[in-house]
Amino acid sequence: MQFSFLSPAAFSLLLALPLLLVPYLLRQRHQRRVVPALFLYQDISSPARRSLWGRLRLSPLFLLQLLILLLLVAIAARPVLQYETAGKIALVLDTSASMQARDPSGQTSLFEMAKERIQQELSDIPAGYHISIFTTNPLGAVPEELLDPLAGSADAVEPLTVGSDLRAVLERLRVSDAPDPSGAALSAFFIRLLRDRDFEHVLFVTDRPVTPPSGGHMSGQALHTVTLGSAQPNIGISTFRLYQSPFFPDDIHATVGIHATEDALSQLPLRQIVIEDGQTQRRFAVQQIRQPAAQTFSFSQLPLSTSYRARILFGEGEGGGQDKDGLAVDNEAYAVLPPLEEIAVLLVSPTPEVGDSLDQIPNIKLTLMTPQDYNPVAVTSAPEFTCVLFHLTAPEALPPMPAAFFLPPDDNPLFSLGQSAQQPVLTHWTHGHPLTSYVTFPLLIPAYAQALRPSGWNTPIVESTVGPLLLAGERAGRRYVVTGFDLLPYLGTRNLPASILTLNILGWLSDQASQSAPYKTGAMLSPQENTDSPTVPILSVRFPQETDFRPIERALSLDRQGVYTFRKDGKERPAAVNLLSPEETDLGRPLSLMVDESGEPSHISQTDRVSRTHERPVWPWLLLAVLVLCSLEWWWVARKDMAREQY
Amino acid sequence: MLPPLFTSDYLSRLETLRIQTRRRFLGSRPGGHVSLRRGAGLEFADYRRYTPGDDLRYIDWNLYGRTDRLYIKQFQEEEDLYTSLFLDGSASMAYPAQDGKAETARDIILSLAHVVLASNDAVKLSLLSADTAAPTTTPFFRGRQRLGNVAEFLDSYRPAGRVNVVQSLARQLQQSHHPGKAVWVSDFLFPLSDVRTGLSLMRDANFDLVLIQVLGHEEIDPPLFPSGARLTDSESGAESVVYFDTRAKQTYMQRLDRHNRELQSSCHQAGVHYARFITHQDVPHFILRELPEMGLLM
Repeated sequence: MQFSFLSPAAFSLLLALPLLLVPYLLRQRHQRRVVPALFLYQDISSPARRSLWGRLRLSPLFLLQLLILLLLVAIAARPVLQYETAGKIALVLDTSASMQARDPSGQTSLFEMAKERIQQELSDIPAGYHISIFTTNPLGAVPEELLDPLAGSADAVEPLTVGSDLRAVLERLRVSDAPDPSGAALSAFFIRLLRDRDFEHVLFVTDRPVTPPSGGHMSGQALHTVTLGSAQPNIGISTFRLYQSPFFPDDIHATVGIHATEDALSQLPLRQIVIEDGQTQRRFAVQQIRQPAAQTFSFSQLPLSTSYRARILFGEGEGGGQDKDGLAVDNEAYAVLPPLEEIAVLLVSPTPEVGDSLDQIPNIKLTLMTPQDYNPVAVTSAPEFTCVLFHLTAPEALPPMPAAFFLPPDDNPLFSLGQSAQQPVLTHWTHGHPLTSYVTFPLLIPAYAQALRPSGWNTPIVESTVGPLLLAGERAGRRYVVTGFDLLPYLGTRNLPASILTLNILGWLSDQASQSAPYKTGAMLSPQENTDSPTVPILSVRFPQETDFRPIERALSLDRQGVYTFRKDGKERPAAVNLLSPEETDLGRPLSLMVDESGEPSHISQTDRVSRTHERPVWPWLLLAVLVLCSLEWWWVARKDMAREQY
Repeated sequence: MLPPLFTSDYLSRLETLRIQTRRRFLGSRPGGHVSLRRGAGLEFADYRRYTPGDDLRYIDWNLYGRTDRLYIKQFQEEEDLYTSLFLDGSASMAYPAQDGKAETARDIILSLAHVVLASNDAVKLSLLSADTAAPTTTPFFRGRQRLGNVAEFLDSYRPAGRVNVVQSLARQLQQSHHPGKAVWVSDFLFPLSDVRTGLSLMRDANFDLVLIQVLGHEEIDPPLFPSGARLTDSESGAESVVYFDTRAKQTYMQRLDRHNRELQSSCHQAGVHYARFITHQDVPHFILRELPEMGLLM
């Protein structure tokens, strides 16, 4: 630690210090005192005191003032304490699921490449730097009030020194099944490293291209990014859902969404989708996917179980063709069967009395409302409704919950209507769809129907001679059904096809709603934050593989796919945790991470100083001393004045 | 209006005292002090031969039996005492202001006056002041009821100006006076030659004199002002810059001590009682204890 002055020229002010003597020399007007007899005081002073310098009595007050002036001059010279600290480097390793991808050669993974690249980077860093290693998972998903994201990277607890054996440390690092954190979270993380944690350099190794913004907060020399090479083509599961109709509990349906890019489709022949429940395994052959978009496959009559796993296979055998796929983690997904619950249905109809007929359906709780009473805001804020049925009416916009529209009016703003007809003949319906199950469509003859025109998000399920009469689809994660004929009143066994179709619609809508809260990998669970969420402690990870989970302080990081079993209020409840991230699956077209700035070159310069000199200003302390001395001087003068007044 | 010191209790205790003189003086009325005049007192004085017309009750028949001659017993007459109180009215009595020398001197004079008045003796106050226009003396008062007159006279006591002690004393003594007890209260911070001259004048006026020197506490132990001060003489107005440090204070103390010792020596040589009072002391204690111990009061 060294003491120095940033503006030593200010010491020239010391030449003015003798001016402080002037007031003392000019202070020749002595105070007047009247004494009873002056002859007792005559010639009582020593001769030396009568001279000029003898009369200049430098009281302690003068010394105090001199000290104050000296301190002010020192403050003007800007004194600082200089000390040097060893350089600090933060190595941030992308541990998202996409880092599990194989490189084009298929020999190694991007994560292994990242480790080797870190070893290479470290070899270029001069000795003396302190190195801390952080991972991006968990990162950002950790609630601020629960956990310091920096503390989440347990590998960064003890900084290393360049030259030490980093291989063992790197070997301990695991790649997670979680997706990449957002660019904002990464940016905040880097800023915290550089500003709060005082790191001089941050080296970020990732498979994502990093896009620098137009104006960042960090200097270009502080953040260095290394983007690894591309991976093999990849196909992955984007959705995996189970459906259990409350009206037919033993009939389990499943849908599996496949996400694939164009290059993957040409190189990876998807052959089978396997759905297993831990005891049985059912294989379904898949036709070759031709379009480079998400495609959903439906499966019915699955055995009843609590949890399921879906896998995609690229060959005939058990592990056939897996080595050709870029990322293995997205080739499987998990789902648990939602518990059967009473369905709360809101019926909006100009003739709400027709809804009374729905009361004969078991497990249904019906609320009737006229279109005039329908308030979308109030309905949205009331989460007790599973779905809403619009009968002969339609709102201004799609409701934020699953909904069915029975014969919407001509002037409705949501659906385009076509030709109308009396007793149209149903000509075509989609086989295997939950909406068409068990429905004998030849016997379903609506008295009046009006054709529907499909839009981009819905597809025809049932068609007739006049056009589509039933459309279904998902929008913003919610299911919607619209029929061109009236299904109410519910006649039960007196009109079996219409009744079964009604039950299918209610089941499809409610089943989607029951799966509205799946867990994504990378999520953080806190036992305090949400009473609706399953709470720790986790008892076990039962299916299908041994999943390594990592509790972090009070939170739990769900960074592995699988079925977790939670205990809440003494009851165990399974929950599926899936990656299901098209962004992670899309290896050929990776999403750019928007961070504040990326630096070039991507290695630490050899000319960088190993140590960094810090300057700590001293002037606040000197200023405090000046204030104390001024207070002391004030007290001194006040005391003298008081004594003089008493005299 | 009497000062606060003069409570009824203090006045009662003062009334138990009497002025004591070392000499006999002629009084004008019967009193409590042995007079030079011989008469019908209780104290035997002398014999003289009987002459016709003498009171036969005073013939000493025992002596006649032994000598066959008629002698008349003579007794000392007991008369009142004239007491003159001289108070220094110079400006030096007003300084140091916070010491209250003037007030202290006034209380001492008033206490002595009450002692005299309570003894049915006569008391007169004389103010040694520079102002010749203002009344500087009172007539002789008798009786304790005249204490108010004395206090009223002292109410106008404002020390000021430069006083020539010798001239002022001479002027006071030239006016009508009666020999008797005299008390001179001052700080006596003027040249000792003036003091000696004043003592001579008092002795010539046939006074049994007592000097009471009143000094302020800060005159005894003055504060330091080492950074210097312009000192002004309270009477002459002369000025001098003095750096009153520890060494100067030591010199001052030696000078004051020598001055006081010489004053006391002069009093001793002149057969004059001398007492010193410092302002921070207790006036009642000084009057009721110290002065009787000195023989001024009894």
